[in-house]
Amino acid sequence: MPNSKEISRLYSGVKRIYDEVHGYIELSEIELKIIDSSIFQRLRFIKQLAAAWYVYPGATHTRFSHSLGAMHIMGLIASRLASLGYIYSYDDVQLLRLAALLHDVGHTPFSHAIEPFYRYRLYIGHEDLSKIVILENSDIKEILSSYGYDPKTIVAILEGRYREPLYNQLLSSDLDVDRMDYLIRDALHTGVTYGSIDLHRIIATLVVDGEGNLAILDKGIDALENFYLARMHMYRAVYYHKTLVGYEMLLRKIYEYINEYTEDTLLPKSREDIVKISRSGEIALWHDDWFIGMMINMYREGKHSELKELIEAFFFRKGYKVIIDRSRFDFYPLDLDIDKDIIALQKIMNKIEDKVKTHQIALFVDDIKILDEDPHISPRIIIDGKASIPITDIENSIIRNIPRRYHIKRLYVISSKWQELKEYLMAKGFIDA
Amino acid sequence: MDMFNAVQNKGRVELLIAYLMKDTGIIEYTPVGSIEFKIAVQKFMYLLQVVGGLDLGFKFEWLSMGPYSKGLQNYYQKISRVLANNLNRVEELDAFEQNALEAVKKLLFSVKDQTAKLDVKTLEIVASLVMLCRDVYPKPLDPVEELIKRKKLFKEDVLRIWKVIDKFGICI
Repeated sequence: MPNSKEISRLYSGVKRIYDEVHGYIELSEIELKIIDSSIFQRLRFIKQLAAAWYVYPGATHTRFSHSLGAMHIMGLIASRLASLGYIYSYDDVQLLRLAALLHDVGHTPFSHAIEPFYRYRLYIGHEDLSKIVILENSDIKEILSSYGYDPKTIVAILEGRYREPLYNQLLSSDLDVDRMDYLIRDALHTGVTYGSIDLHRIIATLVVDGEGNLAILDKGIDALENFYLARMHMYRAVYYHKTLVGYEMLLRKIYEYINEYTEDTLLPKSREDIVKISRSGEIALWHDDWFIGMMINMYREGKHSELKELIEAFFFRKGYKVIIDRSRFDFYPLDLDIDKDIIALQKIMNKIEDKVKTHQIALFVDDIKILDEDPHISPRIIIDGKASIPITDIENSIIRNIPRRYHIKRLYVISSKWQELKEYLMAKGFIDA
Repeated sequence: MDMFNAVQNKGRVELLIAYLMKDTGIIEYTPVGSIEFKIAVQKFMYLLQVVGGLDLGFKFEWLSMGPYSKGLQNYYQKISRVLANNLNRVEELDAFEQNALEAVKKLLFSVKDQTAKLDVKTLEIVASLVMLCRDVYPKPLDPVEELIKRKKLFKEDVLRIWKVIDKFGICI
């Protein structure tokens, strides 16, 4: 088991960066080299919350600071678990920090706004993109290899396939370092204070149970409950805020059009294209600012009227506006085939298809998991230092009573058509006056 | 219609898992919706993809209870619903799906022959051993040792199951 001296040696880093959430973050030599690479610097130009700054002006923080924060939290947790004997080698603390540092390295421009474009066309999400970057970009590969770290090991941890299940949980579970950092960071930058969590209490009570699951000592149960409540608030107030989602859909639609009308190596259309720009390093320019520039060019060219209308709506804040919202919390997963609200919204869409053009309207449906009663991933509580029980089974826990899902069902229309359509839907009795 | 974020429609999942639950007899002693039920769903799907060769696009992680896919969380309820109704197998499964089911059942029934039981725990061991020998990185030298190092299991029991898996040539 590594002792505290050894652990502190790891963090007597070569540089310190001041982070607005965690204060000074110490960087080791290899971490600094990765951060200094053009591939990682790209993350400075990708906003953490896409276009959330249209709703929360302060939400201009980036994937760069979030990645540093996730790495820092991983360091705190891994060091604690190492001092308790659950992580055996001191190199593994560094390995886990590297995995956390690189977990978002493949994010698309405008993060989750554009990501679904690739997820549903190429079945590639940001996790796969990170994998491609780590395995294909020579800078990242060389830095990792020169310090004795196998890029495939980092990828295995990010994919949750690493041999040590505990390491996978630290980066991909309900209570992972990614979530811990982004909840605090996003709450700070949006000003949504009820989204904040008691990070240090969670870390201080984190242990591993007899089955190898991450668990919280019973004295930390309030902090864990607060974590779930904070997440629930953040889903509604920030991540799925009606206006914010409208602008994300708008960006995605613009991206689709630009992809259709333009040939550019930074508009990859296949997995192979992504591999190519990762290998060449050109991916370093694939970020929000590049896409903003692309939109300005297309707008000024003005060749395609629908695209021009959407870009104008984005730049001048006249984007999609909710016209019908049937979102609600629920205890069960959303069933698309039988949900009455979705069927009704689709019917309404059909009714108004002669009133608006396809690009002026958008249906948004999602089923957000707040908490799952799943034995594989439910956080566990250690009661009286003995039994390890899923938090959902603890009778007096608040968590038993919070909704498990947030079903979002909304119909959006472009602002310029909103009033006209609203009046029409009211006249037809589809919505209340 | 923008349904980008909608739950992916993998329409056959509930049907296939429901068949496996029923055909292997696991459903008889696994209450629908229980912890064991969810474990069984996860392990069946993993085996369907890996042993049955039916790629439904689920990505599996290696957790303390073996293979687990987040994507299956949306199916527990649907599978329960299918199980509550009668299954009409002849009409509803195509040849490829039938073959996948048969391959998984063949493996599990062979395990049952060796161990004299086929319960959720056995299913968890089978799926875990397969994942250890195929998908976990770095690949352990001995999947049996790796598994018993992490779980309170009798080596003889795990070895018996491993021998069946090994004979099927599943590991690559």
